[in-house]
Amino acid sequence: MRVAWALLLGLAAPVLAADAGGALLPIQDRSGDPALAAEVQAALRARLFPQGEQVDAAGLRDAMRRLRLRDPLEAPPRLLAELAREVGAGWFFAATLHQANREPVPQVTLAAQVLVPAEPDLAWAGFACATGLDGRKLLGRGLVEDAGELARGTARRLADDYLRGARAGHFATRRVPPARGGYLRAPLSAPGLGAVAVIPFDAVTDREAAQHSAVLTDLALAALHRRGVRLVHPGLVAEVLLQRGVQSRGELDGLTRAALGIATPVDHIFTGTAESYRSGATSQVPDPWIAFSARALQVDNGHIVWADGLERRGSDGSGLLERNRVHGAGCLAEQMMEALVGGLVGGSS
Amino acid sequence: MSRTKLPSLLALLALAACACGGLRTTQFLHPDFNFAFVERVAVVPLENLSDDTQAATRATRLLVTELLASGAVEVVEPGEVRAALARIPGAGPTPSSEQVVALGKALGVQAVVTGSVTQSENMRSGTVVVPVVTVDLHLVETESGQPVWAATESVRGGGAGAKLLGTGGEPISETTRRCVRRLVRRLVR
Repeated sequence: MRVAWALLLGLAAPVLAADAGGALLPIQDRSGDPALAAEVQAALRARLFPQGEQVDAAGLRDAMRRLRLRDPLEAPPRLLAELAREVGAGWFFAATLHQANREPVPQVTLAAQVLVPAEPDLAWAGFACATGLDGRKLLGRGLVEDAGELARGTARRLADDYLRGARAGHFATRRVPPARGGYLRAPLSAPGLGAVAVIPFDAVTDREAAQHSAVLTDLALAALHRRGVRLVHPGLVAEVLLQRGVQSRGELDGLTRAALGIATPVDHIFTGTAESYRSGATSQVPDPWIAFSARALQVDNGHIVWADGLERRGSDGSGLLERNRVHGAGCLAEQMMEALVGGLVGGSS
Repeated sequence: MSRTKLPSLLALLALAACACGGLRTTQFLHPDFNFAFVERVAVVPLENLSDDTQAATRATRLLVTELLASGAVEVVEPGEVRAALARIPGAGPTPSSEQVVALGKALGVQAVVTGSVTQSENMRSGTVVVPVVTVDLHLVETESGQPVWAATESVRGGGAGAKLLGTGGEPISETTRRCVRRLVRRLVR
């Protein structure tokens, strides 16, 4: 199937320069703070391409406009291949600014994916979150009050994560306890899962449901990638859902599942639901409260092979002097997703 | 501790115990039905009878996870249930006996879980907000379309601290989760 895909996409994009460089796509700003989005974009560019980009940013924007490519994660690889051919890029770094708060405590939540146009798999997925209180020490030292500084630092960390190919990342020392009450049909491993397609999460949160759904979907991609799971290109998944005319979020019917199985090299489907997502960002000491569930299905028969859910507050298990307290909603969600995915794929969490 | 303080402390603890947790449960159990026969169930999206627009979706999702977590039964993927319902004319959150039988054949399940969220609201008591959730569930077997189990559970959220001290209560999703978990435990114990 992979060979067939490579051939098919190869026909669509016959010539990609062998030494084609990468390109940073315009950041997807879901936070409503274009100034911080621009800071993140600049910091990512400086870190990823210290010698300067080979691809002209203005030309890239024009080509995207011409191809009507707005959200690169929903663009099928064939469209990305066309974009790559036009601008002479070999891969794309697509970042999303999910959350950006300036007051009372600065918070930034970022996600990114690396898309290789001629590949049916997602090349890389990452996630980074930070608040101004994360590095707080005694007597208030280590506080970051400038949201711009925090955004630049978080963007650099995300870029470094990609450049290092790091798997464990910065959260390795603080883990949410293993989920209890979950369901696992049989022990699974990353190779045993095969290729996994992440269907966008749905959200039953009171407000900003679309944003919470997007954060958790990006988090699922990042957490599965860190565990070494092969991920199907989200653009391929979006294309199948579009062709089927369904707005699938958090669930999938049998026909769409079968269509996905035929159109993409997928073995399992991963999706879930955001049940509660309170960032507590308006408080001086944010105490996020998050609940979500996730499940994995076999593509060939639709059996749910794993299901689990977690609910946590940032103040849970904060310990002496609240040293382990989690202030950022994105940071808490990241730890929770790591714990849940650890339950599915196995590992130390 | 002095003897005079002990009764008031006990009274306070008793009050705290009453202030949180569940209310009464009503349950029906078919006396002749063999529940071991049920290996695979489908959860029909619950009906929303509350003012909270997301209540039924939330409770349905939580119910699927709790049923799977119980390890007692296999649960059909919710998207497949929705698609099967769409193929059965007139089927909705409260399917008729014939529709339940048709659903059983379409999905290969021995029973269908239906029900409704009759209450999902944040009630204000002075300065304290207390979430209250009431869920009504039915298990209907798919050979005859007859209910074999039914229960209603009502749970009031927030710990004693929230009510006695006026601190922040819990989100309604947590109250819903506890309500659904209690119902599932009644079903699969």
